[in-house]
Parts: sequence; structure tokens; C-alpha cells
Amino acid sequence: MHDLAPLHALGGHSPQIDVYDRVTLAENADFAYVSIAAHAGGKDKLSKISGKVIGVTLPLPEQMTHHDDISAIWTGPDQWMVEAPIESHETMADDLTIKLAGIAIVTEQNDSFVRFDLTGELCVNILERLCAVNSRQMPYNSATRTAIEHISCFILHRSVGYFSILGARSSAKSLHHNLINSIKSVV
Amino acid sequence: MSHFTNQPNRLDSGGMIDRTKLIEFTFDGKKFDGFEGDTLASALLANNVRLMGRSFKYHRPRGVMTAGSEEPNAIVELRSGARQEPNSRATVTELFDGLEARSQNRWPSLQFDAMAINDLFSNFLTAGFYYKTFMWPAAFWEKLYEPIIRNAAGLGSLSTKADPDSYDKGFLHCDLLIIGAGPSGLTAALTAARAGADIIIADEDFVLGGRLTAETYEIGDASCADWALETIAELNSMSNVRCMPRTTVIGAFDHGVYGAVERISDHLAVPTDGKPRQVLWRIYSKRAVLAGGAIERPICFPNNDRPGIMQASAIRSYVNRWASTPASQIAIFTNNDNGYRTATDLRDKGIDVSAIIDTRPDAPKCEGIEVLAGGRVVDTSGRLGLNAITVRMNNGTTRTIKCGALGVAGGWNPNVHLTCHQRGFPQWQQDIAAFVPGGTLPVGLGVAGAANGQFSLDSCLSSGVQSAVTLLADIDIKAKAIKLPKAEDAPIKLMPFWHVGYGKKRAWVDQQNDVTVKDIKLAHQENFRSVEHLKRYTTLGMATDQGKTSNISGLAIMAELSGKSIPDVGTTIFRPPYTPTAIGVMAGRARDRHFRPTRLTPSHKWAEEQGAVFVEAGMWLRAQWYPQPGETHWRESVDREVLATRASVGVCDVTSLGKIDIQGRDATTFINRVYANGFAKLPIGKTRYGLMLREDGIVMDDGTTARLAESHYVMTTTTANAVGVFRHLEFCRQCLWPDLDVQLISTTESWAQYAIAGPNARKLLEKIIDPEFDLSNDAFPFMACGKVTVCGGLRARLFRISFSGELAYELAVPTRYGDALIRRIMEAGEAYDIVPYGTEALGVMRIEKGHAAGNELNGTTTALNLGLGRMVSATKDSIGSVLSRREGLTQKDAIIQIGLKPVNDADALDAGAHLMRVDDPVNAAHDQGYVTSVCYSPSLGHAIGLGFLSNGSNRMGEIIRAVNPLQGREILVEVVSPHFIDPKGERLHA
Repeated sequence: MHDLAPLHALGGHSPQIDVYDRVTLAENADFAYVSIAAHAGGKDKLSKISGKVIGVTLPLPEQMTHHDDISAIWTGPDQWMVEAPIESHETMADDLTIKLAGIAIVTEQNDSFVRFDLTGELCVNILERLCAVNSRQMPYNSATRTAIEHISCFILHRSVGYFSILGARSSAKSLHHNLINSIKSVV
Repeated sequence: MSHFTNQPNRLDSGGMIDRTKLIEFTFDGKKFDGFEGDTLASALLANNVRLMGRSFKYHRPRGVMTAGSEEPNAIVELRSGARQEPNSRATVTELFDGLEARSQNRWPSLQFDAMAINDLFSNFLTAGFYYKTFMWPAAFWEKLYEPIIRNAAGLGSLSTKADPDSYDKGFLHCDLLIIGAGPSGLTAALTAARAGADIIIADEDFVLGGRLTAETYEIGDASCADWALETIAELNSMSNVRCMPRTTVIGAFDHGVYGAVERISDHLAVPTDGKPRQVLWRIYSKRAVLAGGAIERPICFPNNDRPGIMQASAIRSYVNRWASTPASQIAIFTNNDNGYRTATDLRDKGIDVSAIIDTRPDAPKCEGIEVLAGGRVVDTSGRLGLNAITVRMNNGTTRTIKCGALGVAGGWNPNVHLTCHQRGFPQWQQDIAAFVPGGTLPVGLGVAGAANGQFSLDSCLSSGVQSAVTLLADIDIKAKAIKLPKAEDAPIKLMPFWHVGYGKKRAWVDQQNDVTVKDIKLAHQENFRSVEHLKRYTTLGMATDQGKTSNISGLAIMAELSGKSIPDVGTTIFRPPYTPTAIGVMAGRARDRHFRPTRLTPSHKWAEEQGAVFVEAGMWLRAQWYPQPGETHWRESVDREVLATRASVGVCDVTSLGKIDIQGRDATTFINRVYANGFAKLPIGKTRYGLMLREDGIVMDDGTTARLAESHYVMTTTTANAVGVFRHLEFCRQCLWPDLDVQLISTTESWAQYAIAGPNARKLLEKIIDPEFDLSNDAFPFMACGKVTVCGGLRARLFRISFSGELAYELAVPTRYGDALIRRIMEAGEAYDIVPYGTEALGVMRIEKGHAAGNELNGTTTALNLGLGRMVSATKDSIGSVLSRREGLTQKDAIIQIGLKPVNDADALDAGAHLMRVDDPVNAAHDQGYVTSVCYSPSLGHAIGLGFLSNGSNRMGEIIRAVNPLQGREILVEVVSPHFIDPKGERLHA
């Protein structure tokens, strides 16, 4: 077991949480990510075995699925991202590379993204100051891609008053700055 | 008239103002009182202030003319310090406690403006005067005329300080956007809202209701203002409705997108902490209805610009909405029945109406008010404000009538502005003598109410309903027409009348740009008769109000002069924004250091602790050098970093280099096609330098690509080109070769990558990489790559590649461990006097080694130029390979990358200097090439450089000149190999 301590995207050893009136923004570093893309012609087979092999069925476009603590997010044609607790799934990419050999291409994305969880009744008001997504009409368990102040992001609507924003990890501070600005504008 | 002694023109009752909330403000330093709900204009009028500004060219005294955003005259400077804002319309400036307003474009004071002397020389300042004057002597133009004119031009002044406020940008979506919350807008909103559609209703006013707030009509049994309040209350109670007062829709763009500026804090002295001053909304609408109303047009008559001469409807607004009258005695000049509404409203409020001057010989009568049928106003008097008008009676006699204000009613112009934003040309409608929306409207836009030429209240209400029903049906929302109460439905009775032809005094058409009837006549006389020429020659409609009150009158006068009908003369169209818009709101939050996002490397926090100096590279903040105590110049730091690395070991964060994960059964084929050199036989566990060409054969980028598994590669790109290369690869994958089984993912963010370079690099790594991995030269030779573990089991990738020319590795670990790893490397490297090095030392070492970088891959160079011509494989097809063999790119005397060293070691080289033979003149015809990269080489003790020289590879040892004509420098340089350090590569392979 290595002894290197992780540093989170905003530069702290513990995730940063910003609490405001009716809304909370929390850096969430508890999840591992892998991207999965079906080999040419392999989509059906991948979909068929995904529940068993990955632990979650693969969603349709603009949707996400869950099973226990594993989620799958549609990210593009024949492409998905799988999200699972990092404590138990940090090496998920290596495992799935073996299990999905010849069926899908697997790439570790653990540290590609910073995840911010936006919770509270003002989520939509905040998101509409940030991106062109029609967050007011986003169904639960839907996912879409957008840009926030030039930063490419995924927006996930998990449940009532609960959105996740996944953006480039290296731009975590810029993204956080924009999110906080919008929160202050709205609250 | 008033019990408010400080506000002599405030009516005793009425108005949508809160008389319990007194507001203090200043105008030109003098204190005044107003009430909550006032605009600056209404409050000034209540205080008997009619003079509010000076005109642009002639510095004529001017007062408020309108009660809306179309105002041409009452243009003032607001606030002070950094928040000072010029050219603000007093008519839409919401009054707040402590508001500071100043008149502008006058000196020394508004009452006495010395520049009014211009008015005496008006004969010399007619339309196009600047095309005809200031011609002689030619030398005077730049040094005398232009500075004087520039100094005299303009209205307000800028603070020149940075804007202290913030602005937001936002995005909204709706089924139906309703632009304007007057009668038709409100009924459209109610219809759509009750049908369950998601709607946004936006109005530039701070109170919704449009003309309903300013009229005395009844709707059903209620006053129209009360009906509006009830309707707005219902709309506000519905979750599918977003009511947006203080929001101006400024533009209609493609695909149902509208731009709207919401003024969040303009009615406050200072924005609430954290709140923006304004928000620029991009509204994505499925359908939109323009219910922007109409603007009452003036009639042009001699001296029609004195303070107190206003739109008749504006006087009605001030009296009804703000209980503020411009004078105690008011006359009306009209060509239609609507002017009578002002007269009767004034009469009913006890204000003395001197007379109604109606241009129509068959003018109707008006109870209690004298009507001068067939009359014309032919002159006015009053130096700083109107005190009388001269009327030419129908029988030819003249009569002087005392009045402090004159309401002018020339008919109404539908507010077609937004319908023109996609080149829709308005069409003439004879019965109302006005242009209505026509041509190609923005897709999905409907027009309702007065904006569509429907002027009675009843028709406005019903057209709003109908528009909503029709537009929603387009998007499969069934809306039921709401039942409307009874409302005014009088026919339009108007006799088109544009200007009074009597007298020689000037009559203003465009009051903001000081364009007169005489100017239009001159334009006609000088053959500038098309509407576009008329506009540009006279500047009609080119001020900040975009001619909202003047364009049509100008066209009508031109039509009369040309003997044509108005539709034959045509009209100009409008473009965004609808009203003047702050530049700040266009920028939003993207300003100063937040102009664009930054990217931080995994070692950023640690580098900050070391006091690193950062540089921005492709949005990354990279450590440029790490100053040590006692170092006073960057060169000292950089020289130390280079020497220490070459002597022992150094570490550099190279995470920012683009890393693209390429996988798939056809990954090898794909890479072989995008790189000019061969990759088909790259073994697993090996890395190869790759050269990527553009379609035209010019070098796009370079980097290394490692083969981690049979169908798994990791391509590295330069930092600056990472996004461009990824985009190029995606284009190739999706568009050129969609049949290939390849997937691309940027993993730049995923891996923290450090270059560890120097003779002791291996020894250092042996302390970091777990012992089961053999790093010996045999087991892990130059260009090897593979997966390893570090620090007791953390997965990592190791590449034996070198940019510095030293024994070097690049070690990558998951980004979250990057901070811990750099600390561990530094700790382990203490025994070897390890140094961190930044991009400057990196740059020095790569020049010493002769590696090309951004300066050499500059978008004009080929592989041949770079001395890499043989890398372009002739045995396979790849992007750019065919065009790289074009005759023009393969000439024998092509420029080739070479090294340069000064003949005199003390000389410095200039990047960008041009290379000339010793005896040739310095000119483009004798240009031999240019210097691309230079540095001081601490390893060699003198300056060195890379450059491109014609036939360079065959000119080693030649002495030439590096000339810098821009800075007047020139030195002798020797052409040498670009590989200054370790030309045989022994260090690399150690």
C-alpha cells in the first residue's frame, strides 16, 4: 500500500464545502470514474452484459442509471461514464479493461474531473446564470454536457434540488469561482 | 397646484408613486426631492425643472421630450467616481435616494453654455459640413481641425476608472417569450400562462403595464391601471410564468434566441454585496411575441426643440403615472384624435389647457377647451424653456398663445425595431400612416398590439390573445382565448402631417443629432436622396436613440421633397441593441484575471510554497522559475536550474503537455495516418517521436506517442496545441475515417506527470519506483515506456524520453497524488542536490539540445525546414504527406533549421532577427532566413540560438549577420549544428 496522500482538486486534503442560504456547494472527491466506449459494432453486447459486469445498466442518451452506489452516465454515442465510490473502486478501470476486453474500451477518468454537488432549492436559479442547459426542465437522472465560462462540464440532475457539475479538474478553482459568483448573485 | 412646496409641479393626488417615501437627489449639484416610483425626469418636472440638457451640435437648451427609452434630449451623467455613467436617459432612470445627476455637453453651466455660440453659426454647420470644410491647408487637419472637433464632439464623459460593478450572463428557456408588458403583452401572457405554457414576459420599465400605467381608460369596470395590476398579480402567482421588469430585450437572434438585459441594481446607489449590476440573458424561446407598443412621433415646426415641448402622450404619462406636470398651462398640437386624450386628461386634473391646435380643418370639438382647427404652430419662444407658441390660424392670421408646455401628437409609429434584426423590412400601412412589421420576421416571432399597428385598446388586448393562441398552436400547445372585458375601441382618425412649412426658422427632426428639416432639404438638394444616403449625410437617426422619434418624420419630409410616396422612399432598418447597452454586461464575469479560466498543475500548491514565478501557457499556469534566496534576476535562477540539472538531476512538472488516450482495434492504423512518420511497427513498451502535418503539408505539432498495449497508445502533444490536436484527431476519427474502431479521450487532467532529468535521474527514480521494476539501461532503454508502481504500490506510468538532452524520464501518477509525489521526489533527491526547474530552464535546455518547439513549429514550416524531411514516410499515406512534397516546399535553397552562436561571445542574439550574408544589403530581397529561439546557455557561457537559414545544413561554419532593423542591432553569428549539447546523444542513452 502506497503512502502518498491525495490532494483534492481545490487544493485541500479534505473537500471544500460552501454553505449558503438555501444552497450548498460541495466538492465531492468520493467517486472514481471510468469511461467506457463500445468497440465498433459492440454496443449491443456491451449493453447486454453491462449490468452483470459493470454493476449497472447503461442508460439511453442524456440519461443516467444507478444500481446501489454505482451510476452510469451517457456521455456520447456508444460512450458512457461509470461512477463508483473511490474507496472501493479506485482501480475500477484496470478491472473493467480485463472484463470488457474485446467489447469495450476503458479509460481511467478518476482525476479527469472535479465534481461539485449543488444542493438546495436555488439550484436552477444558479445554473441558469452559468450555462445554456435548460436545468428547470431537466428530468431527474438526466445528464447533459455544456460549457460554463469556457469550461466543458457535465451537468447531472440526480434528484430534487440535487445537481452535480463535473468539470475539468485542472480548472477546478476557476469553475468554483464561477459557481460561487453565481450563488452570491442569486441568494 | 401642489401642497409639496419643494415640488411645485407635483399634483395633489394620483400617480403610481409612493408619497410616503421621499427621495433626495441632486441635479447639477442642486438638491431636489422626489418620490419612490419617480424617474429622474418625472421628479425634475415635478420640481419645475424643464431644462435638462444641451443639444449635441448647436448646444441648444433641451428638456425632456418623451417618457420612455426613446428619449433624445434628457441625456444626463449619473453617479460619480468609478460608477459615473454618461448619456443616461433621465426618462428611464429610476429615482433612488442620493442619486447624483448632472447635465452634460455644456460649459460652464447648463444655464449658460458658452458653446451655444455654435447656434449662431448654424449656417456653417449644416448637414455634411465636415465633408466640405476643413479642407485647407491640408496640414491643419491632423494637428488643428481634428483635435478641436474631437474635443467638441461627444456628450458625456467617462470616469476612465475601472468599472467597480460586476455583471452576470445567464440563459433562460421558455415556450413563449413576450416582449413588452403593455395591454397586448399582458393578454398574450395570460392566455399562454393559463394554457400551461412556460412563459417569460419582459418589459424595460420597472413597472409592468406599459401604456396602461399612463392612461385613464377603463377595462371592464376597472381602470386600466388596476386591470393591469390584477393581471400582473395573477401572472406572478403562476409557477410557469417569469415576469421580468427592468428587462430590455435588446436583440432578436437566430433560432429564437433573444438577448435581454435585466437591470438588477441600477435603481440602487450601490449593488448589494455579491449582486451584479445587470444580467445579460440569452433567452431560448420556442416562440416569441413582440408587444413593444408604439412611439408617438412629433411634428416638426420652427423652434420645436425648446424645453417644455414634448410628446402629448409623454405629458399624459407624467400627469397620470407620476402626478407630475411639466407646466401649469399646456397647449396641444395634434393631427389626430389621440392628442385630445392628453387635453382631456389634463383638463380633468385641473390643469389649464390653453388650446388644442389641430392641423385638421374638420377638427372635433372638445368640451371646455378651445380647438384651433386647421391651425399650425409656426414658432415658439422662451430662451431656456417654452413660454409661448405662435399659431398660424386656418384663416392665415397668427396668434400667440401662452403656455409652459406643448404636447405634440403626430400619430404613432409601431415599435418595429426587433422585427428588423434579421433584415425584415417594415411595410407602409396607409390608414395609420406608419410602417408596420413586414418582410421576413425572425423565425417564430409574432407581433401584437400597437407594435403591429393596432392602436385601440380593445384591439391591443384581443391581438395579444390571438397571437398567443396562434404561436402556441405552432408548438402543439392548445391555448384557449381568454375572455376579455370591454375596452376602448375608437377608430384611428388621423391626417398625416409631418412638418410645418411656414417660416424660415429651423425645425428639428432628429433632436439628439441636431438634424433639421433644412438639413434634409440640403441632402435632397445635393442628391443624397436614398434613405441610406440621407441617414449618413445628415446623421439622421444615428445617435444613441437610433432615431426612434425622428426616422419616419425624416423619411416623410424626404418623400415630400422628392414628390414620392413614403413607401417609395423606403425606410432604414434597425440592428441590435434596441437601447444603449453597457459594454460591461457583454463581458459578464469574464474580465481581468477571470477573463478566461486557468488550469493549475498538480504541483501548483507546492510550487507556490517554493515561491515559483508562474507563466500562462495554453491557460495552464506553469512554474517559470524557482527563485532562491539571494537571486535578484531571473537569469540567475534559470542558469542555476540548468546547470544543476545537467550536473545531477532536476524535476519539472510537464502535466500540461497534452495526453490523448488512443485505443481501439484500429488505433495503430489511425496513428499511422495522422503522423507523417511510421508507427505501424512501434513495439509495445516503446515510445516514438511523431511529426503531425496539416493537410497542406505544414507541420501542425510534434510529440511522442507511447504504445502501452497492443491497441492502446498515449499520444503527447505540446501544451499550447493540445486542444487543437485533439480537435484535429476527432475530426479525422469522426469525419475522415468513421469506419475505424478508434476511441480518443483526453487524459491530460488524469495524470500528474514529472520530467526527471539529469545524470542522476535513474538513481533518484530507483528510490521512488518500487524495486521490482528494473530501470537499468538494458531493461528500460531510451524511449522505453511501461506501467510501474511507485511509493509502495501506486500505479504509475514511466516513459524514458528527454526534452533536455539528458538521461531523463517522465513519471505519471494519478493527478490527486501529484502533490505528494513532487514532495517525495524532492525529498528523495536531496542526496543529489535536486532542483525543480521551470519552463525557462526547460526552454534553455531544449535550445541547447536543438529541439524544435512553438517558435519553430510556427505554422509556416515543413518537416524539411525542421531538418526532419526524411521523417515524412514515402511508403505510406498520411495527412499532409502528399502536399509536403509540393515543388514550392522542396526547393533546394529551402530554409533549414540551424544553430547560431555569436562570433563575439559577449553578444546577445535577438529572436526574430533576420539573417543576411555579410556583404549583402539589408532588405527583403537578400533575406536568408530568421532567428526563432534564443537564450543564454549557461552550459556554454554565451548566447545561442536556433533559426532557419536558406540551404542551412550546407552552410555550417559560415559567418553571417543577424540583423534587427527594428531595434537597430546587428551582430555577426556563426552557423552551427542546432545540437549544442551532446550531439551524439550519449547522455540520453546513458
